[in-house]
Amino acid sequence: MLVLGSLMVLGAGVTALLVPRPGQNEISPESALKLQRPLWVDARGADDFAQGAMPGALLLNEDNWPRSIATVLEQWHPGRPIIVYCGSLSCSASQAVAKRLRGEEYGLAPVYVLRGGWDVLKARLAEASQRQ
Amino acid sequence: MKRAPAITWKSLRPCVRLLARLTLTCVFVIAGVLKLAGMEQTQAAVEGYRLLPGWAVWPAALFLPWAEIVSGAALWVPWLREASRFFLATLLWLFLVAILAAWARGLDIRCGCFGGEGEAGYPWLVARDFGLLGLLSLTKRGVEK
Repeated sequence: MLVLGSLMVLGAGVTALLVPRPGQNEISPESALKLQRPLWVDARGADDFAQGAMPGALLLNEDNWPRSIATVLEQWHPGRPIIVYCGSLSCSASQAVAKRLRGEEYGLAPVYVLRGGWDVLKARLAEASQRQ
Repeated sequence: MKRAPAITWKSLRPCVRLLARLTLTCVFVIAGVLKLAGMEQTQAAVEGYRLLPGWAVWPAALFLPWAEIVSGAALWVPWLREASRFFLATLLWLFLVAILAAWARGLDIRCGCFGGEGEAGYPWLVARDFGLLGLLSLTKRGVEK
């Protein structure tokens, strides 16, 4: 039993050294697209949202929060992952929205921030549609 | 003319044991390798069960694939077989508890059993785990009469 336990710990240790820990509460577009029925939340401005967004995504940002949060809460149910994105790698709106959704007021989980934002997600969606 | 020997449970038992061991090894080693291949999804799946505190999710996601691979492979090493059976049974009971706890709380989880697999209903997941526990019991070398 000790031998097997040691091998498991050794394997986990080597993996920890070789695989960088995914950012806490962050998710890559590839992994996000594989999740079952996630709730997509678009944290960009209304104009950007109107120009193109993830199909089915809900617009939620600091400006429209009072109007849109009710829709998000209606569509979410326990265990359904929420993925928040904003424009690009450098934007921070998605972090702020995700933090607020996770916070004491709403306490939703799991809430992920999409790494790379809409720019990367849009590219992944285009690649996927080309393959089909 | 010689009569063919009767097929009895006793004569079949070694074959059944071998098949059960082979199936369990395939299931657990493949599940572990697929988890290792997508650590981000493994971490998300572990987190989705909402049973562990945040700090424990990544260590659990690191340990779980190796527990499956090592335990599954060790079924073929005679002197490690009993320990392997113990670890596999522990893993299966832990999975069952986690699945039933998620089911009871109405969570819409992704099993994460085989990395980024598709949707699977709770009854199927529970039945599959009980099936694997049944297979595991067949790998035990009983007292041959």
